[in-house]
Formats: sequence, structure tokens, C-alpha cells
Amino acid sequence: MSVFASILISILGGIIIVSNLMIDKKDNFEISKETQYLVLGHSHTEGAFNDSLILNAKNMARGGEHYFFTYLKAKKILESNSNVKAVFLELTNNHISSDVAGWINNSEKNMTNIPVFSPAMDFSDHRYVFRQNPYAYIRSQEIVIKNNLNFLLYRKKNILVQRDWGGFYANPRQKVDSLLKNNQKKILKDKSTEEDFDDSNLIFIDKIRSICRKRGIRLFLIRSPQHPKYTGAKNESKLKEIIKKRYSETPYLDFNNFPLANGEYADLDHLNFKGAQKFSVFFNSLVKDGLLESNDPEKTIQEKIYGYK
Amino acid sequence: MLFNSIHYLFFLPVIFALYWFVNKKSLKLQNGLLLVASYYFYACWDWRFLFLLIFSTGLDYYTGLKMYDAQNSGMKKFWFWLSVGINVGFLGIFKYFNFFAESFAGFLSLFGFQANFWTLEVILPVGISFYTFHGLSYVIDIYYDRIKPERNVVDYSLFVSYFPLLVAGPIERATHLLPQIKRKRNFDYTNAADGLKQILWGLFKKVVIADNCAQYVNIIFDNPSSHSGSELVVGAVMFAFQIYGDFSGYSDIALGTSRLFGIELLRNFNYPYFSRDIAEFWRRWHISLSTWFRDYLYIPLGGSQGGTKMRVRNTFVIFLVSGFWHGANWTFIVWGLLNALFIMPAIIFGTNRVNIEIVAKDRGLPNYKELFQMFMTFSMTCLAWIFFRAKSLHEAFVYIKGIFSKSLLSVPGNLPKIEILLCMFLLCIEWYGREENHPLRAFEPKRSVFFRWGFYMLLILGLIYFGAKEQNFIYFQF
Repeated sequence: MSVFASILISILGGIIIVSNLMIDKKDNFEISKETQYLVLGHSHTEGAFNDSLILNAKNMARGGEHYFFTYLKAKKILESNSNVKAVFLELTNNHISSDVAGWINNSEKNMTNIPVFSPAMDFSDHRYVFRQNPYAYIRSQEIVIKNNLNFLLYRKKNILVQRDWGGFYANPRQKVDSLLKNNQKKILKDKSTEEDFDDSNLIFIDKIRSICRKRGIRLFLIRSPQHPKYTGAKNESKLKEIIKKRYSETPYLDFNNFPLANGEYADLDHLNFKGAQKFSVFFNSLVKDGLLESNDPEKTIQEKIYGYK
Repeated sequence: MLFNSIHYLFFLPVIFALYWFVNKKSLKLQNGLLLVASYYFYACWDWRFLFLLIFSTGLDYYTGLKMYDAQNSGMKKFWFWLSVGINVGFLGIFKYFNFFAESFAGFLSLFGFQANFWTLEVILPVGISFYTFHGLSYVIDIYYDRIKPERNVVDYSLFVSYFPLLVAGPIERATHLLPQIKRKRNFDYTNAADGLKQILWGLFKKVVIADNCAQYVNIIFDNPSSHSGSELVVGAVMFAFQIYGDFSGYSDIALGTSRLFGIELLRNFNYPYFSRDIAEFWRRWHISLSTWFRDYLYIPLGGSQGGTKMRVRNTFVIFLVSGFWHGANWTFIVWGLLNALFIMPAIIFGTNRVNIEIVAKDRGLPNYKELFQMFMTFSMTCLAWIFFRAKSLHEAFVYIKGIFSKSLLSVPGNLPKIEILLCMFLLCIEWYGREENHPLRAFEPKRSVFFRWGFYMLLILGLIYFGAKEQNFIYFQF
């Protein structure tokens, strides 16, 4: 029985390894050759950047995504697409909260994300995510086998689409008015406070920065617009401190105070499709006007936002 | 806790290890452990109905003792009918109250009366039909002096609540299970290994066959009028495989699990789709329920004694009750009556016990006559299954009308090719192993260890690849 079990585990492990290797080919991670700007992040970015309105941009953000998976995504896409010249990576208030930093330990999220990104993971990545949640890692391998075999057997192409590696989400919601009417403290799940601080996931920004440097790709940290009444911004000073000290050499494009009406937000920290349209057109105009080549893009943005109002 | 869940994957080895390596020297501790495990297993479904299970157990235990110790037949009858009344009463309330209320209201409305009956908002306790019948068989056997009551409350409670069979059978008998509970068990590696293989085959039938067929079946049955006759036929056939894979798969897992603990349960399925007539089908399908009705209803009603009329009457009663047992819906009753009609010629002409042994025994393939007989029997059961699956009689008739339409001979669109291949694979393997308790046993010792192990790994890979989202076993609703 033990011999059978050992052989079985070896075979299943072999299937996982071999299938991941077979899928790990450049053409499975290709994006359009015209794409020059890659947008990465979580749900804030996913709902804010309508890439159909931003020239040569591709939004690959994905809701609920921990920076570890963003790093895997960046690693694979940048490796397979030399046409990408710049990366916009979301860094916002909740990225330094324990809530978001703890996503990597969440079983449900891991069991969804690990099968999606498994072909992009090397041994150290597997070891890292296994250590965060061994149960979820082991359980997710069943889905990895199924997804990988499906991909190979049916000769599918482009894992980015097939596994939903991210993309713009036209959020239809419009809940700000009702949220503001009710007590915010009861409704908001974001526990960001000055004291609630966890920067453990920021090491993956460092890794993304390192990849970009190696490939001569410019990295911009961005913050998508949030409603002025968003209470998750209590750690604003902490965030500013991190940007100043840790990412002083990386331009931070802060659109937090971009003017939008209540009806253009899905809720207090996400844009809906109307807000995304307005913001994306604005962002596109900035890029067209040479924002990325500007010596002080942060100042340029604030001036443009002021002028926009 | 489903058998095909991660929870069970952790639960079973823990209980197994405690049973054989910690409590192995004490039968009392082993039985106690199994009882606690069984209550935990049931509580994972809904802890509130655990009290109902314990109450039902306590009731039958107590009334069993009282019947045995009764000074006269009057007192004996009193305890007997008290137990039967309360057990059936609970079943009636939880399962059938709304059905009767609504049916009666519907009946009155035919005469122009509008009646608003109070219906109960109750959840059906999982497995109530099964453990109620367990208890009833025990009480009835004591009443007829076939067995003595069990005085050890732990042993009796384990008989009722034994977790492998608690929620979907097989429906055990006190004469079969209680002696095994009271007897010391020794670990038998060969038996345990065979039990694991039976579990594997059961999981394959449930996860790969049943759950995958279910997806296609749901599409067809949800909207039969928008499908062609040929698609409806495919849907009915797929349902036949779904319910077989689901129920017999569960039974195999239950039997295999029990063998890990050194306890043999009653066989519940014996390759029913290889039956050559309906009578044979009902000797091979849900055997524990059929034999329960035979022993506790058919025979007390007179059985086959008293001529053809009596046999016909008793057969109708059995199938009517059997249909009703499956659910509080007219569709189940019609399903039962349809099966009664199918079996009637054999009852009348006395040909219901012609095909006893498995088809083509000691032969590789069936002859043409046997093939035709199996095809006809399968077709009749598929027709009856339509009523079993449909949500209402109207839906069932719409479905059947759709089959027998001009589009019956059209090529079905969106044929579930993978599912059909899987069903054919199932049939081939079950045909190969039809002379064994479960088909994987047929591989030993004929095949080499490499072949066998390779096949088991293929099944496991199939479980992983085709494993759909966890779906409840169909028979849990009973």
C-alpha cells in the first residue's frame, strides 16, 4: 500500500511538474504586440483603467490579487513580451494593511489563484506559497492537474485569457450615496488604520522593480482614485512615508484626488464604468502629453487634476 | 460530510487509525469510537437532527426491551405499535405532511372548494427514511420473535447510526449487522485493501460518472420542450447512468469503508443494468430496500400465497409504497406504479424468477437474445426514470411526449461525447467484473500488478481530472 501511495504521489507530482513546464512557453503568455504599457494591481486598478480608452495599454489587474501573484504575472508577461515599455503598478492604502497582506494566507483565494498562476511559478515560488498555506496549496494541486491537462489536451493558446489573468472590469455598481447615508463604519470592511500596518507584501514590488530594471522597463507606482470620504485612508501618512523612503526613485502617480461625482464610483474605493471612462480618458491624455517622459510626473499630475477641476 | 469531500478524506484515516491502533484490544472502545464518529458524521450535516436520530434510537431500544419483557400479547402489541407509530409519525411529519396537505387541497379545489391548509416549513432530516427503516426492521423482528432485543445501548445505537450507511443505506438488518458489532474484529489486510478498491470504484462512479452526467441531465430536464426527441432520449439515458453512478457509487463507498473496520454490509447493487427482465432488475437494484419490503410488507400481506390475484395486489402495494418511500411527490408514486405494470406480466405468468444468475455467466459476451433483453429492460427502466427525475407529472408527460415526436429520429445536437464515452467505459469495466462483488476484484489475480496499479492510477487521475464540484448524492433527499 505504501509503495502504491508513493508511486501515485510521484506520478501526480510528475504530471504537475511536466505540464507546468510544457505550458511555460512564451507564446502562451503573449499580449498584443502594440501594447507598451502594462497596468497591474488589484480591484482598484481593475475597475479604474479602461484599456480600450488608453492607447497601447493593457490592463492585467485582477481583484483580490496579492502582490505575490502580481509579481508572477509581471515576471511572465515581461519575459514573454519585449514590446512592453512601462509598467503601472498599483500601490494604495490597503496594500499596507494586514487585511490585504493576509490575502496570501487565505485558503479560498489561494485555491483560486494557485491553479491560475501555477505554470508561472518556479520552485522558490512554490515553496513560498506552500509555506503560507500548505492546506490550500495541496488542495489546489488537484485543480492544477485538471486545468493543465485541459490546456494541453485541447491545445489551448494564451493562458492569459484562458485562465483569466486579469483585465478591465466595467463595474456597474453605484453605491456611494447609499453608503454615505448609512453608517460607514458598519459597512466598510477595510480596517486600515494608522496602527494596522503590514508591509510584508511590498517585497514583491521590489522584485517587480528588479525585473523592470533588468529589462530596461520603466516602473510607475500608481494610486487609482478613491472617494474623499473613504475611511481606509487612515494610514495615509504611513503610505507617504513608505513611498518617500522605500520608493523614492520610483515615480508615484497619485490619482487619489481625481475629481469624480458620487455616481461615478462603485463604492468608496472602486470606480464604476462611468468613473473608469472619465478617468481613463484623462489618463490617456496625460500619457499622450508626455507624462511618462516628464521630469516630475507627480507634479504634472497634480497640476492637471487641478486644471481638470 | 460527503464521502467525496476533503473532510471525509481526513475523517476516515483518523477513525481507522484510532480504531485499529489505539482501541484494537477493546471491542467496547472500538464500538464506542464508531458510535461517536457516527454521531459526528451525522452532526456535520445538521447537528439539530442528531437529537431526532438519538431519540429514534432510544425509542426503538426501549420499546424493543419492553416488547420482549411484556407479560402478555396485548402489552407486546402496545409497545410495538407505539414504536411503529412514532417512527412512521416522524417520517410522515417531516417527509409527507406538506404532500398530503397540498394534495388534499388540490383534490378539494376540483370540486370548487378553496382550502388553505397549513403547511410546515420543515427541513427534511438527512437519511430519515433509512435509519427509520433500520429501527423498524429491528422492532418488527423482535415482535415476531425472530431476534432478542439488544441490551447493550452502545451496540444498538451503533447498529442504527453506523456512519457508512447512516444517510443513504444500505438498509441493514439486525440479524446481519448486530452480530458483527458484538463480535471481535481482526484486521485483515486483504479485506481492507479490497475495501479501498471498492471505495475507489465507488468514487469513480459518483464523481466521474454521476456528477458529469448530472450537468447534461439538468440542462435537458430543466427545459424539455426546447429539446428534440433524440436529445430527450439521451437525457433520459444519461439520468439512468447518473442515478446508478450516484447511488451504487455511494453504496460501494459505504461497503468499502465498512470493510476497513472489519464489518461486512449487505450488498445493495448487483449490476442491475445487465438485467434481462424487470423482475431481475428489481433483484439487483437497491437490494436492501427491495428485500426489506419483501420481508416486512409483501410476505405479511400474504406474499405469493393465495393465487395470482393476491400476488398482483401485493406487488402493486409494494411498488406503490416503494415509490412513496422515495419522495412526497406524485411522480414517485407513478414511477412505482409504472414499475409494477412492467413486472406484472412476469408475476401473472410466473416467469419472474427465470433469470437468477448473472447474464452470460462464464462467457465473455452475451448472445443476441440476451442483448435484446438487456436493451428492452434498460429502455423500460429509463422510461420509468423520467418520472423519478421530473419535478411534476406534467413535466414528465411533456418529456415523454417530446420523445415520441417527429424529432425522435433527428441527430441530437450538443451530444455529451465525453460523458457518453465515460458511461461506455463504466459498462465495459462492470461487464468485465460482473461476477464479482465489485468489478475491480475481477482484475485479481488475472492481471499483473503493473496493469492493476496502472488501472487504479488511471481511475484516480480520472477522479482528479473529471472531478466536478461536490454534488450531494441523490438519495440523500430520502
